[in-house]
Amino acid sequence: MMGFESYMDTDPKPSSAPISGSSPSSAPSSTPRSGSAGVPPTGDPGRRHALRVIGTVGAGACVAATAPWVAGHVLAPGNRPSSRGPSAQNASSHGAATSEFVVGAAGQLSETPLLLAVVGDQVDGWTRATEQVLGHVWVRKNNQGEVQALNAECPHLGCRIGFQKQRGHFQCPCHESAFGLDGTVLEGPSPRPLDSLHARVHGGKVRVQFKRFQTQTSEKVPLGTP
Amino acid sequence: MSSDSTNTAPCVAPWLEVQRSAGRLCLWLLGLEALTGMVLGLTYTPSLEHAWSSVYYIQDRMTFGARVRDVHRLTGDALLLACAVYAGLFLCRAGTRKNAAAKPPTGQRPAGQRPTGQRPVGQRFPWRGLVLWWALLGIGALVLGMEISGLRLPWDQTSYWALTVEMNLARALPVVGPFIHRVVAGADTLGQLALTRLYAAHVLILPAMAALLLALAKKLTSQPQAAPGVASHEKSATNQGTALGKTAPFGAETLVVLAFIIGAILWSVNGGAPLGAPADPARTFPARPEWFIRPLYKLRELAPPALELVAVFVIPGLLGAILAMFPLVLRRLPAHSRKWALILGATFVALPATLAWASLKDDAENQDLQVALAEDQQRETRAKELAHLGVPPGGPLVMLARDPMTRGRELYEQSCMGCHMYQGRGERKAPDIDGLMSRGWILDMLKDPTHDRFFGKADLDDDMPSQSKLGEANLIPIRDFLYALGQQDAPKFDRTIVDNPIQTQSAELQESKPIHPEVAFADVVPLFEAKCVSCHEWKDEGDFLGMGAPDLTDYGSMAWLRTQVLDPEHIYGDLNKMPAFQETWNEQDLNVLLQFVYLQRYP
Repeated sequence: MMGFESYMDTDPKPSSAPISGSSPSSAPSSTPRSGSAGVPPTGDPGRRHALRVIGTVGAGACVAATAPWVAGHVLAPGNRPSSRGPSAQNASSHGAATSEFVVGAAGQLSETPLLLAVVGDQVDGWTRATEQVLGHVWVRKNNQGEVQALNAECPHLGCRIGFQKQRGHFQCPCHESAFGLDGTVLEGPSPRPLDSLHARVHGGKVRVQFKRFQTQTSEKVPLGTP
Repeated sequence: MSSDSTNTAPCVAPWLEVQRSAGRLCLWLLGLEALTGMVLGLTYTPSLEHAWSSVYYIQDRMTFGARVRDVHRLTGDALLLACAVYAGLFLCRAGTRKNAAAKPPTGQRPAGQRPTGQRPVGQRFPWRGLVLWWALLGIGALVLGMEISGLRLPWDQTSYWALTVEMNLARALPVVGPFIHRVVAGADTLGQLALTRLYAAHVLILPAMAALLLALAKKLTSQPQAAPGVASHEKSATNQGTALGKTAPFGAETLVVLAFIIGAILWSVNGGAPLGAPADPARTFPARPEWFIRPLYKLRELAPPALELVAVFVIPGLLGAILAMFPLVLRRLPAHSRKWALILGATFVALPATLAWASLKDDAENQDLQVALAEDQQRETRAKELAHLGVPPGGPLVMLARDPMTRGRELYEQSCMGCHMYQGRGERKAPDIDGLMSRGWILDMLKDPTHDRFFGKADLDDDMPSQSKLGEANLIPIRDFLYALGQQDAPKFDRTIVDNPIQTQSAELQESKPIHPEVAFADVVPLFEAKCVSCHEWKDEGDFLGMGAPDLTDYGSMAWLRTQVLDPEHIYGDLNKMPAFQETWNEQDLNVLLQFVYLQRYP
């Protein structure tokens, strides 16, 4: 900032004064008064100035070039996958397509949607916990008897979707998006329908392939994929 | 032209004083934030298990803890406002000054009123003045950042869901979005990393950056610009930011305002720093932003879905850019620039205020929202009751998950409400939960089993007739015996439930201990066998009439309730209408649900 400022402020020709160690903001002056005449000649001022400019610009360019890389790798945690097991990203979001979770008993289901928790292992930073709630699904049987599962996370901005019994539709409490029983957007800002998940009944239990998706996109983009 | 200059000139001195006061107030408020922040930092712990609990501890147990938190929280608001006022005055002055400087220096101006010989300095303004202005804007942005990150630290429902929305919004930004999300949130799921990062930003990174910018601003203002021909007494007036701590830091009027602010905070009845129910990703919550983000919230709502990001990012970004470049714009404006500045400033204030007001009005009229907030309020109250007695190491969510009156009730609402009514909610296709198996319930049920409260709506094939004919003399011993059957395996409830039930306060609960009803009520057993066991099964005998009435073995005990829930046919036989809830809950949830139902016997 200081270097930049003095560079911008200072006339190309005069002013070798700043080099003598005083702080840049006090030293530079655009008036011709402080030409090299007032300062003991300690070298070619023009060259020194050019060197300084080149140095500043060069250093700035180096920093600018490396900063995103450094920031991306140092500031964002969990970049290095653990040698055993999935990286934090994958385990916590369960992006793995094959992970199927038992969320409840088939006997519970009816045409009215039922909110069921998806329970599994969760990695959060340096902790790994079992039996954690990874998310929620709304599950119902449609009139053909097929099991439908919808991720209860709003595709708009990630709030938890509720079900309005009287009105018979899903609603997001944060920004009032409303969804039909099959997940289609009835009103509100949601960019896509509720995310349907693959679900089946097997051995009397409801099994759901649980995935989370990016919000704010019109397509379903699974989380954990960069 | 000249009339304009005579109008503005007298205004400058008093307005400069006001600006200086505002600047001093900002510094004082910053100091107050630092001080109260240090006090809070002695207790607050940024972890998912301890954040909410430690904030509650500050409010509940620390001397003046709640007040310190109020001051810390509301001073942040005051600081934002003070910064805005300061920036407004700064701009106004910059506008008037440029206006004056842009005049031809040949104007017949009274000496000493506006500096006329100053063109060189005026030309220098774009860099020094603009850098100072940017530094000030940067400080404002950092204050905003500290405010937002600080508000997320208690990790209550509002914190969590607001952060969810904010992080998802940030991620939607092109190019930088995913990076910002990863740096701030740490992972796809908001958890410990997000909290740690917010904490580091709030107490370390943002304050350090603000301190750097303050130092820069101070340097820019305190060093006179070595321009020739400017008399020393004019320097302070020509410098843009003289208000920033240049003169005596103890402005009397500043201290009065400061005292007023602190007084108002301390006098506020409700306190300024609420603590909601602990953050629970499993529970839906109507997240609403703080007052200073409200205008954007409303703007987003007004915008068509496709333009949402434009409303949230582009418009504020443009406004910010305009604000950043405003001194340059002012300089190019004609003589009435001051009026324009005032009009624009008024718009800057009035427009967001209107949007925020409209949004608040919407919320007040939104019934669903009010219901949801009331539910959360109930949870908050309960969480605080329990936390008052100590939070388990697993954190507030573990605490609530073990609480029958919270988790048990929640499970009831998820799975039982469709048939069993409780506190006026739910449908009536089976007996109500209220007071189930309490002494009063048993007696009333014996007298009138087909009342809607009991089995009237259950649509059983064979209804039990009223037993009123037996008379109270017989019914009361039978009731006591039935009640005692349920007491056999009375769980030893957590102390917290006994001390702070939401609705039950019973000495009996505290004394409840396993008993042997057949010993204690030896004299009632023959009566019971004579009057009840002809229809009901009891201990593998009875039901001599073949009525198939429910099994009364250990009636109402935890074991009986468990069977009733998991395998109702075992008790009700062919009469049964209730679905079996096997594999619906894990063992802990099932136990908590049963405890919730069991607690109904202590009205």
